[in-house]
Amino acid sequence: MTAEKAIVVQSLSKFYDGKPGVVDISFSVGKGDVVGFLGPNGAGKTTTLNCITGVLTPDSGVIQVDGHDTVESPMEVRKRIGYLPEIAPLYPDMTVEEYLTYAAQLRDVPKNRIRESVERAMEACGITDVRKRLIRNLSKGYGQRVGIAQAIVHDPPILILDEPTIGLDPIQIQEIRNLIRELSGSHTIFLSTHILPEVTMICNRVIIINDGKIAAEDTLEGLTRRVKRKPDYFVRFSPGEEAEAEKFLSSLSAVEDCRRDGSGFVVTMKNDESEVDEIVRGAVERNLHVRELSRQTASLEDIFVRLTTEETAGGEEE
Amino acid sequence: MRKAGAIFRKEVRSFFYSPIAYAVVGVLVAITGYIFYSALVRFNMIKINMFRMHDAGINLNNVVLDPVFYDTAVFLLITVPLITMRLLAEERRLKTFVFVFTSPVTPAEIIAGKYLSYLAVLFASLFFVFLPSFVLVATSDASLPPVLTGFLGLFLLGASFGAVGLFISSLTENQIVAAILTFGVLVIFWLIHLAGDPTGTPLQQVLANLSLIEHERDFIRGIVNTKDLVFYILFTAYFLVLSYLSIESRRWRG
Repeated sequence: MTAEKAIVVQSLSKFYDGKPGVVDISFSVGKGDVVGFLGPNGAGKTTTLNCITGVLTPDSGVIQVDGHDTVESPMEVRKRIGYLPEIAPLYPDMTVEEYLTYAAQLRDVPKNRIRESVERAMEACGITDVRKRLIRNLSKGYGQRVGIAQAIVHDPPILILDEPTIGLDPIQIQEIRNLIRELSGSHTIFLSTHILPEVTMICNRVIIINDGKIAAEDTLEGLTRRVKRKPDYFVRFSPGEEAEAEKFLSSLSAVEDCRRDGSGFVVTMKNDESEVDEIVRGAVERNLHVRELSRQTASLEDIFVRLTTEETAGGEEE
Repeated sequence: MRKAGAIFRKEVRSFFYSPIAYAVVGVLVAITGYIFYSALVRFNMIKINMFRMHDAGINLNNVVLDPVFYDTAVFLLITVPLITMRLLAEERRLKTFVFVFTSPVTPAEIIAGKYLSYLAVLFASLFFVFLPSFVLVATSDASLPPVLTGFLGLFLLGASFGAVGLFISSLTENQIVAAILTFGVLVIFWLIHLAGDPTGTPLQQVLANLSLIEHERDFIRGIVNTKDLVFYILFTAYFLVLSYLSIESRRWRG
Protein backbone atom coordinates (compact mmCIF):
# COMPACT_ATOMS: atom_id res chain seq x y z
CA MET A 1 0.00 0.00 0.00
CA THR A 2 1.01 3.58 0.08
CA ALA A 3 3.91 4.56 2.25
CA GLU A 4 1.99 7.27 4.07
CA LYS A 5 -0.37 4.82 5.66
CA ALA A 6 0.45 3.55 9.13
CA ILE A 7 -2.28 0.93 9.20
CA VAL A 8 -4.15 -0.51 6.25
CA VAL A 9 -6.97 -2.98 6.83
CA GLN A 10 -8.46 -4.63 3.77
CA SER A 11 -11.56 -6.80 3.82
CA LEU A 12 -10.83 -8.10 7.28
CA SER A 13 -13.15 -10.81 8.59
CA LYS A 14 -12.93 -12.73 11.82
CA PHE A 15 -15.43 -15.26 13.09
CA TYR A 16 -15.85 -16.83 16.51
CA ASP A 17 -17.22 -20.34 16.25
CA GLY A 18 -18.98 -19.35 13.05
CA LYS A 19 -20.41 -16.20 14.60
CA PRO A 20 -19.14 -13.07 12.90
CA GLY A 21 -16.91 -10.82 14.97
CA VAL A 22 -16.13 -8.43 12.14
CA VAL A 23 -17.16 -8.88 8.53
CA ASP A 24 -15.27 -7.57 5.52
CA ILE A 25 -14.14 -4.29 7.01
CA SER A 26 -11.65 -1.99 5.33
CA PHE A 27 -10.11 1.24 6.49
CA SER A 28 -6.78 2.91 6.80
CA VAL A 29 -4.97 5.13 9.25
CA GLY A 30 -2.56 7.72 7.94
CA LYS A 31 0.81 8.38 9.52
CA GLY A 32 0.56 10.90 12.32
CA ASP A 33 -3.22 10.66 12.51
CA VAL A 34 -5.07 10.32 15.75
CA VAL A 35 -8.00 8.15 14.87
CA GLY A 36 -10.91 7.29 17.11
CA PHE A 37 -12.38 3.85 16.60
CA LEU A 38 -15.88 4.14 17.83
CA GLY A 39 -18.61 1.64 18.36
CA PRO A 40 -21.05 0.23 20.88
CA ASN A 41 -19.94 -2.63 23.10
CA GLY A 42 -19.67 -5.83 21.13
CA ALA A 43 -19.36 -4.07 17.78
CA GLY A 44 -16.02 -5.70 17.00
CA LYS A 45 -13.60 -3.04 18.18
CA THR A 46 -11.37 -5.30 20.25
CA THR A 47 -11.50 -8.03 17.62
CA THR A 48 -10.21 -5.59 15.03
CA LEU A 49 -7.47 -4.33 17.32
CA ASN A 50 -6.43 -7.87 18.21
CA CYS A 51 -6.13 -8.67 14.50
CA ILE A 52 -4.00 -5.59 13.86
CA THR A 53 -1.70 -6.32 16.77
CA GLY A 54 -1.40 -9.99 15.84
CA VAL A 55 -3.07 -11.43 18.93
CA LEU A 56 -5.55 -13.00 16.53
CA THR A 57 -5.06 -14.14 12.98
CA PRO A 58 -7.74 -12.89 10.58
CA ASP A 59 -9.96 -15.48 8.91
CA SER A 60 -9.68 -13.47 5.73
CA GLY A 61 -8.38 -10.12 4.61
CA VAL A 62 -5.04 -8.39 4.78
CA ILE A 63 -3.66 -6.03 7.38
CA GLN A 64 -0.51 -4.02 6.87
CA VAL A 65 1.23 -2.04 9.53
CA ASP A 66 3.83 0.36 8.29
CA GLY A 67 3.95 -1.68 5.07
CA HIS A 68 4.41 -5.02 6.84
CA ASP A 69 1.86 -7.79 6.61
CA THR A 70 0.65 -8.89 10.04
CA VAL A 71 0.53 -12.57 9.08
CA GLU A 72 3.68 -12.79 6.98
CA SER A 73 6.03 -10.70 9.09
CA PRO A 74 4.46 -10.51 12.54
CA MET A 75 7.76 -9.71 14.26
CA GLU A 76 8.28 -6.57 12.16
CA VAL A 77 4.73 -5.48 12.90
CA ARG A 78 5.06 -6.04 16.63
CA LYS A 79 8.25 -4.00 16.82
CA ARG A 80 6.35 -1.03 15.39
CA ILE A 81 3.28 -1.22 17.56
CA GLY A 82 2.69 -0.26 21.14
CA TYR A 83 -0.53 -1.84 22.35
CA LEU A 84 -2.55 -1.11 25.42
CA PRO A 85 -5.28 -3.77 25.61
CA GLU A 86 -8.62 -3.12 27.24
CA ILE A 87 -7.36 -4.61 30.49
CA ALA A 88 -3.88 -3.21 31.10
CA PRO A 89 -1.50 -6.19 31.10
CA LEU A 90 0.21 -5.74 34.45
CA TYR A 91 2.14 -8.17 36.64
CA PRO A 92 1.10 -7.36 40.20
CA ASP A 93 4.27 -8.82 41.71
CA MET A 94 6.66 -6.60 39.79
CA THR A 95 7.66 -3.03 40.50
CA VAL A 96 6.93 -0.44 37.85
CA GLU A 97 10.57 -0.23 36.91
CA GLU A 98 11.06 -4.01 36.74
CA TYR A 99 8.00 -4.34 34.59
CA LEU A 100 9.03 -1.66 32.12
CA THR A 101 12.53 -3.09 31.94
CA TYR A 102 11.01 -6.47 31.16
CA ALA A 103 8.83 -4.88 28.49
CA ALA A 104 11.86 -3.18 26.94
CA GLN A 105 13.77 -6.47 26.88
CA LEU A 106 10.92 -8.26 25.14
CA ARG A 107 10.58 -5.46 22.60
CA ASP A 108 14.14 -5.62 21.29
CA VAL A 109 15.43 -2.45 22.90
CA PRO A 110 19.25 -2.71 22.76
CA LYS A 111 20.72 -3.62 26.13
CA ASN A 112 22.62 -0.36 26.60
CA ARG A 113 19.51 1.70 25.90
CA ILE A 114 17.04 -0.11 28.14
CA ARG A 115 17.62 2.08 31.17
CA GLU A 116 17.22 5.24 29.12
CA SER A 117 14.05 3.94 27.40
CA VAL A 118 12.48 3.02 30.73
CA GLU A 119 13.31 6.47 32.15
CA ARG A 120 11.80 8.16 29.12
CA ALA A 121 8.60 6.11 29.27
CA MET A 122 8.20 6.76 33.00
CA GLU A 123 8.84 10.43 32.47
CA ALA A 124 6.30 10.69 29.65
CA CYS A 125 3.61 8.94 31.67
CA GLY A 126 4.36 10.72 34.94
CA ILE A 127 5.11 7.58 36.93
CA THR A 128 8.73 8.25 37.86
CA ASP A 129 7.72 8.78 41.49
CA VAL A 130 6.16 5.30 41.78
CA ARG A 131 8.97 3.44 40.02
CA LYS A 132 9.85 1.34 43.07
CA ARG A 133 6.27 0.49 43.97
CA LEU A 134 4.76 -2.91 43.36
CA ILE A 135 2.16 -2.69 40.62
CA ARG A 136 -0.41 -4.41 42.86
CA ASN A 137 -0.31 -1.36 45.14
CA LEU A 138 -1.00 1.21 42.43
CA SER A 139 -4.34 2.92 41.90
CA LYS A 140 -6.24 2.15 38.73
CA GLY A 141 -5.24 5.45 37.18
CA TYR A 142 -1.56 4.82 37.81
CA GLY A 143 -1.98 1.27 36.57
CA GLN A 144 -3.35 2.64 33.33
CA ARG A 145 -0.38 4.97 33.02
CA VAL A 146 1.96 2.06 33.51
CA GLY A 147 -0.03 0.30 30.78
CA ILE A 148 0.62 3.19 28.44
CA ALA A 149 4.26 3.35 29.51
CA GLN A 150 4.78 -0.28 28.48
CA ALA A 151 3.23 0.55 25.11
CA ILE A 152 5.69 3.37 24.43
CA VAL A 153 8.82 1.95 26.09
CA HIS A 154 10.28 0.75 22.79
CA ASP A 155 9.30 4.01 21.10
CA PRO A 156 7.00 2.53 18.47
CA PRO A 157 5.69 4.80 15.72
CA ILE A 158 2.17 3.45 16.16
CA LEU A 159 0.14 3.30 19.35
CA ILE A 160 -3.00 1.23 19.62
CA LEU A 161 -5.10 1.90 22.67
CA ASP A 162 -8.17 -0.12 23.53
CA GLU A 163 -10.56 1.86 25.73
CA PRO A 164 -7.73 3.66 27.54
CA THR A 165 -9.94 5.53 30.01
CA ILE A 166 -12.37 2.80 30.95
CA GLY A 167 -12.93 2.35 34.67
CA LEU A 168 -11.10 5.50 35.72
CA ASP A 169 -12.45 8.36 37.78
CA PRO A 170 -13.06 11.72 36.08
CA ILE A 171 -9.74 13.24 37.12
CA GLN A 172 -7.79 10.21 36.02
CA ILE A 173 -9.69 10.22 32.72
CA GLN A 174 -8.64 13.81 32.19
CA GLU A 175 -5.02 12.96 32.95
CA ILE A 176 -4.95 10.01 30.59
CA ARG A 177 -6.52 12.10 27.83
CA ASN A 178 -3.91 14.78 28.31
CA LEU A 179 -1.23 12.13 28.17
CA ILE A 180 -2.63 10.74 24.93
CA ARG A 181 -2.80 14.22 23.49
CA GLU A 182 0.85 14.78 24.35
CA LEU A 183 1.82 11.50 22.74
CA SER A 184 -0.18 12.30 19.63
CA GLY A 185 2.47 14.75 18.49
CA SER A 186 5.03 12.04 17.90
CA HIS A 187 2.90 8.94 17.27
CA THR A 188 0.18 7.63 15.07
CA ILE A 189 -2.59 6.77 17.48
CA PHE A 190 -5.47 4.41 16.91
CA LEU A 191 -7.79 4.54 19.82
CA SER A 192 -10.91 2.54 20.44
CA THR A 193 -13.61 3.85 22.69
CA HIS A 194 -17.31 3.93 23.26
CA ILE A 195 -17.10 7.24 25.07
CA LEU A 196 -17.96 9.88 22.52
CA PRO A 197 -16.56 13.06 24.07
CA GLU A 198 -13.21 11.33 24.19
CA VAL A 199 -13.11 11.25 20.42
CA THR A 200 -14.11 14.88 20.18
CA MET A 201 -11.33 15.81 22.55
CA ILE A 202 -8.47 13.74 21.23
CA CYS A 203 -8.99 12.57 17.69
CA ASN A 204 -8.91 14.21 14.31
CA ARG A 205 -10.54 11.34 12.46
CA VAL A 206 -13.25 8.90 13.36
CA ILE A 207 -14.06 5.41 12.23
CA ILE A 208 -17.39 4.11 13.44
CA ILE A 209 -17.97 0.40 13.62
CA ASN A 210 -21.28 -1.24 14.32
CA ASP A 211 -22.27 -4.86 14.29
CA GLY A 212 -18.98 -5.93 12.75
CA LYS A 213 -19.16 -3.44 9.88
CA ILE A 214 -17.75 0.01 9.26
CA ALA A 215 -20.61 2.49 9.55
CA ALA A 216 -18.65 5.64 8.79
CA GLU A 217 -15.13 6.90 8.29
CA ASP A 218 -14.51 10.62 8.20
CA THR A 219 -13.06 13.62 9.95
CA LEU A 220 -14.98 14.85 12.94
CA GLU A 221 -16.21 17.94 11.09
CA GLY A 222 -17.16 15.88 8.08
CA LEU A 223 -19.25 13.58 10.20
CA THR A 224 -20.92 16.43 11.96
CA ARG A 225 -21.75 18.08 8.66
CA ARG A 226 -23.05 14.87 7.23
CA VAL A 227 -25.47 14.09 9.93
CA LYS A 228 -26.68 17.45 11.03
CA ARG A 229 -27.07 20.36 8.69
CA LYS A 230 -29.63 22.34 10.62
CA PRO A 231 -28.47 24.18 13.74
CA ASP A 232 -30.05 23.61 17.12
CA TYR A 233 -30.30 26.28 19.77
CA PHE A 234 -31.02 26.02 23.43
CA VAL A 235 -33.17 28.87 24.70
CA ARG A 236 -34.19 29.49 28.29
CA PHE A 237 -36.58 32.19 29.46
CA SER A 238 -37.38 33.60 32.87
CA PRO A 239 -39.29 31.18 35.07
CA GLY A 240 -43.03 31.35 34.54
CA GLU A 241 -42.78 32.35 30.90
CA GLU A 242 -42.55 28.86 29.50
CA ALA A 243 -46.10 28.53 28.27
CA GLU A 244 -46.06 31.82 26.45
CA ALA A 245 -42.56 31.17 25.13
CA GLU A 246 -43.56 27.85 23.71
CA LYS A 247 -46.42 29.45 21.83
CA PHE A 248 -44.11 32.16 20.57
CA LEU A 249 -41.37 29.84 19.42
CA SER A 250 -43.67 27.50 17.54
CA SER A 251 -45.24 30.47 15.79
CA LEU A 252 -41.95 31.60 14.27
CA SER A 253 -41.59 30.82 10.59
CA ALA A 254 -37.85 30.22 10.87
CA VAL A 255 -38.32 27.51 13.48
CA GLU A 256 -38.77 24.03 12.24
CA ASP A 257 -39.15 22.26 15.53
CA CYS A 258 -39.30 23.24 19.15
CA ARG A 259 -39.32 20.95 22.14
CA ARG A 260 -39.11 21.32 25.91
CA ASP A 261 -35.81 20.35 27.43
CA GLY A 262 -35.57 20.81 31.17
CA SER A 263 -36.11 24.47 32.00
CA GLY A 264 -35.74 25.61 28.40
CA PHE A 265 -36.34 24.68 24.80
CA VAL A 266 -34.31 23.10 22.07
CA VAL A 267 -35.14 24.90 18.86
CA THR A 268 -34.25 23.57 15.43
CA MET A 269 -33.95 26.30 12.84
CA LYS A 270 -35.14 25.78 9.31
CA ASN A 271 -32.16 27.17 7.49
CA ASP A 272 -29.10 28.75 9.01
CA GLU A 273 -27.93 30.56 12.07
CA SER A 274 -28.84 34.10 10.94
CA GLU A 275 -32.42 33.16 11.76
CA VAL A 276 -31.63 33.10 15.42
CA ASP A 277 -32.06 36.87 15.32
CA GLU A 278 -35.78 36.30 14.95
CA ILE A 279 -35.94 34.58 18.28
CA VAL A 280 -34.16 37.42 20.02
CA ARG A 281 -36.11 40.18 18.31
CA GLY A 282 -39.45 38.46 18.79
CA ALA A 283 -38.77 37.78 22.42
CA VAL A 284 -37.98 41.42 23.11
CA GLU A 285 -41.13 42.52 21.31
CA ARG A 286 -43.26 40.20 23.42
CA ASN A 287 -41.53 41.17 26.60
CA LEU A 288 -40.17 37.66 27.13
CA HIS A 289 -36.89 37.51 29.01
CA VAL A 290 -34.22 35.45 27.40
CA ARG A 291 -31.89 34.17 30.10
CA GLU A 292 -29.82 31.79 28.06
CA LEU A 293 -29.26 31.24 24.38
CA SER A 294 -26.65 28.86 23.11
CA ARG A 295 -25.87 26.95 20.00
CA GLN A 296 -25.89 23.21 20.28
CA THR A 297 -23.31 21.59 18.11
CA ALA A 298 -24.48 18.29 16.80
CA SER A 299 -22.98 16.02 19.37
CA LEU A 300 -21.19 12.92 18.39
CA GLU A 301 -23.93 11.10 20.27
CA ASP A 302 -26.42 12.13 17.63
CA ILE A 303 -24.13 11.04 14.84
CA PHE A 304 -23.38 7.84 16.59
CA VAL A 305 -26.96 6.94 17.36
CA ARG A 306 -27.99 7.76 13.82
CA LEU A 307 -25.23 5.83 12.20
CA THR A 308 -25.51 2.81 14.41
CA THR A 309 -29.28 2.52 14.42
CA GLU A 310 -30.05 3.29 10.81
CA GLU A 311 -29.69 0.60 8.22
CA THR A 312 -26.94 2.35 6.31
CA ALA A 313 -25.21 5.62 6.75
CA GLY A 314 -25.96 6.39 3.13
CA GLY A 315 -22.66 8.14 3.11
CA GLU A 316 -19.96 8.51 0.56
CA GLU A 317 -17.66 5.69 -0.36
CA GLU A 318 -14.16 5.89 0.93
CA MET B 1 17.27 -16.28 22.87
CA ARG B 2 18.00 -13.10 24.76
CA LYS B 3 14.29 -12.65 25.22
CA ALA B 4 13.93 -16.22 26.51
CA GLY B 5 16.54 -15.19 29.09
CA ALA B 6 14.45 -12.19 30.09
CA ILE B 7 11.37 -14.39 30.47
CA PHE B 8 13.43 -16.92 32.43
CA ARG B 9 14.67 -14.35 34.93
CA LYS B 10 11.24 -12.80 35.31
CA GLU B 11 9.65 -16.20 35.94
CA VAL B 12 12.21 -17.31 38.50
CA ARG B 13 11.88 -14.02 40.33
CA SER B 14 8.10 -14.03 40.39
CA PHE B 15 8.13 -17.67 41.50
CA PHE B 16 10.10 -16.77 44.57
CA TYR B 17 7.90 -13.75 45.22
CA SER B 18 4.93 -16.04 45.57
CA PRO B 19 4.18 -17.68 48.92
CA ILE B 20 3.10 -20.83 47.10
CA ALA B 21 6.73 -21.44 46.18
CA TYR B 22 7.91 -21.48 49.75
CA ALA B 23 4.98 -23.58 50.89
CA VAL B 24 5.40 -26.17 48.15
CA VAL B 25 9.17 -26.46 48.24
CA GLY B 26 9.20 -26.23 52.02
CA VAL B 27 6.72 -29.06 52.44
CA LEU B 28 8.57 -31.18 49.89
CA VAL B 29 11.87 -30.73 51.68
CA ALA B 30 10.34 -31.22 55.13
CA ILE B 31 8.56 -34.45 54.23
CA THR B 32 11.50 -36.00 52.41
CA GLY B 33 13.71 -34.90 55.30
CA TYR B 34 11.43 -36.68 57.73
CA ILE B 35 11.41 -39.82 55.60
CA PHE B 36 15.18 -39.66 55.43
CA TYR B 37 15.38 -39.35 59.18
CA SER B 38 13.00 -42.23 59.89
CA ALA B 39 14.79 -44.44 57.36
CA LEU B 40 18.02 -43.71 59.16
CA VAL B 41 16.47 -44.65 62.49
CA ARG B 42 15.19 -47.87 60.97
CA PHE B 43 18.62 -48.59 59.58
CA ASN B 44 20.10 -48.28 63.06
CA MET B 45 17.51 -50.73 64.41
CA ILE B 46 18.38 -53.24 61.73
CA LYS B 47 22.03 -52.68 62.37
CA ILE B 48 21.59 -53.47 66.06
CA ASN B 49 19.50 -56.54 65.37
CA MET B 50 21.65 -57.92 62.57
CA PHE B 51 25.27 -57.98 63.38
CA ARG B 52 26.64 -58.81 59.99
CA MET B 53 24.47 -56.67 57.83
CA HIS B 54 26.89 -56.47 54.94
CA ASP B 55 26.52 -60.16 54.43
CA ALA B 56 22.76 -59.76 54.25
CA GLY B 57 23.13 -57.24 51.42
CA ILE B 58 21.90 -54.43 53.58
CA ASN B 59 23.63 -51.09 53.38
CA LEU B 60 22.86 -47.41 53.73
CA ASN B 61 22.10 -47.06 50.05
CA ASN B 62 19.35 -49.60 49.79
CA VAL B 63 17.87 -49.20 53.26
CA VAL B 64 17.98 -45.44 53.61
CA LEU B 65 18.52 -43.72 50.28
CA ASP B 66 16.50 -45.86 47.84
CA PRO B 67 13.23 -45.47 49.77
CA VAL B 68 13.88 -41.75 50.20
CA PHE B 69 14.38 -41.31 46.46
CA TYR B 70 11.27 -43.35 45.72
CA ASP B 71 9.18 -41.30 48.07
CA THR B 72 10.62 -38.14 46.58
CA ALA B 73 9.31 -39.29 43.22
CA VAL B 74 5.85 -39.70 44.74
CA PHE B 75 5.98 -36.26 46.31
CA LEU B 76 7.11 -34.72 43.04
CA LEU B 77 3.89 -36.09 41.60
CA ILE B 78 2.02 -33.84 44.01
CA THR B 79 4.30 -30.81 44.14
CA VAL B 80 5.16 -30.38 40.46
CA PRO B 81 1.56 -29.57 39.43
CA LEU B 82 1.54 -26.89 42.12
CA ILE B 83 4.71 -25.38 40.70
CA THR B 84 3.75 -25.52 37.04
CA MET B 85 0.10 -24.49 37.37
CA ARG B 86 0.86 -20.80 37.24
CA LEU B 87 3.36 -20.84 34.36
CA LEU B 88 0.90 -19.96 31.60
CA ALA B 89 -2.50 -20.02 33.32
CA GLU B 90 -1.56 -16.98 35.38
CA GLU B 91 -0.70 -14.95 32.28
CA ARG B 92 -4.12 -15.70 30.92
CA ARG B 93 -5.88 -14.77 34.12
CA LEU B 94 -3.94 -11.52 34.47
CA LYS B 95 -4.53 -10.81 30.76
CA THR B 96 -0.79 -10.40 30.35
CA PHE B 97 -0.62 -13.00 27.61
CA VAL B 98 -1.54 -10.23 25.20
CA PHE B 99 1.47 -8.29 26.48
CA VAL B 100 3.82 -11.15 25.64
CA PHE B 101 1.99 -11.92 22.43
CA THR B 102 2.17 -8.43 21.02
CA SER B 103 5.89 -8.21 21.76
CA PRO B 104 8.25 -9.53 19.12
CA VAL B 105 8.68 -12.80 20.98
CA THR B 106 8.23 -16.22 19.36
CA PRO B 107 6.23 -18.98 21.05
CA ALA B 108 9.46 -20.99 21.21
CA GLU B 109 11.08 -18.25 23.27
CA ILE B 110 8.07 -18.12 25.59
CA ILE B 111 8.18 -21.89 26.09
CA ALA B 112 11.95 -21.90 26.56
CA GLY B 113 11.92 -19.10 29.13
CA LYS B 114 9.03 -20.56 31.09
CA TYR B 115 10.21 -24.15 31.02
CA LEU B 116 13.81 -23.37 31.90
CA SER B 117 12.59 -21.32 34.85
CA TYR B 118 10.70 -24.39 36.02
CA LEU B 119 13.83 -26.54 35.63
CA ALA B 120 15.77 -24.07 37.74
CA VAL B 121 13.14 -24.28 40.48
CA LEU B 122 13.12 -28.07 40.20
CA PHE B 123 16.89 -28.22 40.44
CA ALA B 124 16.90 -26.00 43.51
CA SER B 125 14.17 -28.07 45.19
CA LEU B 126 15.95 -31.34 44.49
CA PHE B 127 19.18 -29.87 45.76
CA PHE B 128 17.59 -29.25 49.15
CA VAL B 129 15.91 -32.64 49.10
CA PHE B 130 19.28 -34.30 48.42
CA LEU B 131 21.26 -32.30 50.92
CA PRO B 132 20.90 -34.90 53.74
CA SER B 133 21.85 -37.67 51.31
CA PHE B 134 25.04 -35.89 50.35
CA VAL B 135 25.84 -35.36 54.01
CA LEU B 136 25.27 -39.07 54.61
CA VAL B 137 27.59 -40.01 51.77
CA ALA B 138 30.25 -37.68 53.12
CA THR B 139 30.05 -39.02 56.67
CA SER B 140 29.46 -42.74 56.19
CA ASP B 141 30.26 -45.62 53.89
CA ALA B 142 27.20 -45.01 51.69
CA SER B 143 28.34 -44.85 48.09
CA LEU B 144 28.01 -41.68 46.01
CA PRO B 145 27.22 -42.88 42.45
CA PRO B 146 23.69 -44.11 43.22
CA VAL B 147 22.99 -40.75 44.86
CA LEU B 148 24.11 -38.91 41.74
CA THR B 149 22.15 -41.16 39.38
CA GLY B 150 19.18 -40.85 41.72
CA PHE B 151 19.46 -37.09 41.45
CA LEU B 152 19.68 -37.30 37.67
CA GLY B 153 16.75 -39.70 37.51
CA LEU B 154 14.54 -37.57 39.72
CA PHE B 155 15.52 -34.46 37.81
CA LEU B 156 14.54 -36.12 34.53
CA LEU B 157 11.33 -37.39 36.09
CA GLY B 158 10.58 -33.91 37.39
CA ALA B 159 11.42 -32.45 33.97
CA SER B 160 8.87 -34.79 32.37
CA PHE B 161 6.26 -33.89 34.98
CA GLY B 162 6.95 -30.22 34.38
CA ALA B 163 6.48 -30.49 30.62
CA VAL B 164 3.03 -32.00 31.21
CA GLY B 165 2.30 -29.25 33.71
CA LEU B 166 3.39 -26.52 31.32
CA PHE B 167 1.17 -27.90 28.58
CA ILE B 168 -1.88 -28.16 30.80
CA SER B 169 -1.22 -24.71 32.20
CA SER B 170 -1.53 -23.40 28.63
CA LEU B 171 -5.05 -24.79 28.35
CA THR B 172 -6.81 -22.99 31.17
CA GLU B 173 -6.71 -19.73 33.04
CA ASN B 174 -7.66 -21.43 36.29
CA GLN B 175 -4.56 -22.49 38.18
CA ILE B 176 -6.41 -24.94 40.43
CA VAL B 177 -7.87 -26.70 37.41
CA ALA B 178 -4.41 -26.79 35.83
CA ALA B 179 -2.91 -28.36 38.96
CA ILE B 180 -5.64 -30.99 39.30
CA LEU B 181 -5.56 -31.94 35.62
CA THR B 182 -1.78 -32.15 35.66
CA PHE B 183 -1.91 -34.38 38.71
CA GLY B 184 -4.48 -36.60 37.02
CA VAL B 185 -2.49 -36.92 33.81
CA LEU B 186 0.70 -37.64 35.74
CA VAL B 187 -0.97 -40.37 37.78
CA ILE B 188 -2.20 -41.96 34.56
CA PHE B 189 1.30 -41.91 33.10
CA TRP B 190 2.61 -43.24 36.39
CA LEU B 191 0.29 -46.24 36.40
CA ILE B 192 -0.14 -46.73 32.67
CA HIS B 193 2.02 -49.87 32.67
CA LEU B 194 -0.68 -51.67 34.66
CA ALA B 195 -2.77 -51.72 31.49
CA GLY B 196 0.15 -53.12 29.53
CA ASP B 197 1.92 -56.43 29.29
CA PRO B 198 5.59 -56.74 28.24
CA THR B 199 4.83 -59.99 26.41
CA GLY B 200 1.39 -59.12 25.02
CA THR B 201 0.19 -57.38 21.88
CA PRO B 202 2.29 -54.48 20.50
CA LEU B 203 -0.07 -51.98 22.13
CA GLN B 204 0.28 -53.69 25.48
CA GLN B 205 4.04 -53.68 25.09
CA VAL B 206 4.01 -49.95 24.39
CA LEU B 207 1.82 -49.29 27.42
CA ALA B 208 4.08 -51.42 29.56
CA ASN B 209 6.98 -49.15 28.70
CA LEU B 210 5.21 -45.80 29.00
CA SER B 211 5.15 -45.60 32.78
CA LEU B 212 7.06 -42.66 34.15
CA ILE B 213 8.06 -44.43 37.37
CA GLU B 214 9.16 -47.71 35.79
CA HIS B 215 11.96 -45.85 34.03
CA GLU B 216 13.02 -44.42 37.36
CA ARG B 217 13.93 -47.71 39.04
CA ASP B 218 17.34 -48.20 37.51
CA PHE B 219 18.38 -44.61 38.14
CA ILE B 220 17.64 -45.09 41.84
CA ARG B 221 19.63 -48.33 41.86
CA GLY B 222 22.58 -46.49 40.38
CA ILE B 223 22.23 -47.58 36.76
CA VAL B 224 21.83 -45.17 33.85
CA ASN B 225 20.20 -46.82 30.84
CA THR B 226 20.09 -45.09 27.47
CA LYS B 227 16.49 -46.20 26.98
CA ASP B 228 15.42 -44.52 30.21
CA LEU B 229 17.27 -41.33 29.31
CA VAL B 230 15.74 -41.30 25.85
CA PHE B 231 12.32 -42.00 27.27
CA TYR B 232 12.36 -39.00 29.57
CA ILE B 233 13.83 -36.70 26.96
CA LEU B 234 11.26 -37.70 24.33
CA PHE B 235 8.41 -37.53 26.82
CA THR B 236 9.49 -34.02 27.79
CA ALA B 237 9.99 -32.92 24.19
CA TYR B 238 6.57 -34.25 23.24
CA PHE B 239 4.78 -32.14 25.82
CA LEU B 240 6.90 -29.09 25.08
CA VAL B 241 5.84 -29.35 21.44
CA LEU B 242 2.22 -29.66 22.54
CA SER B 243 2.66 -26.51 24.65
CA TYR B 244 4.13 -24.73 21.65
CA LEU B 245 1.20 -25.74 19.46
CA SER B 246 -1.26 -24.77 22.16
CA ILE B 247 0.21 -21.27 22.41
CA GLU B 248 0.54 -20.81 18.69
CA SER B 249 -3.02 -21.96 18.01
CA ARG B 250 -4.49 -19.33 20.30
CA ARG B 251 -4.02 -16.81 17.53
CA TRP B 252 -6.34 -18.79 15.31
CA ARG B 253 -9.02 -19.37 17.87
CA GLY B 254 -9.71 -16.27 19.84
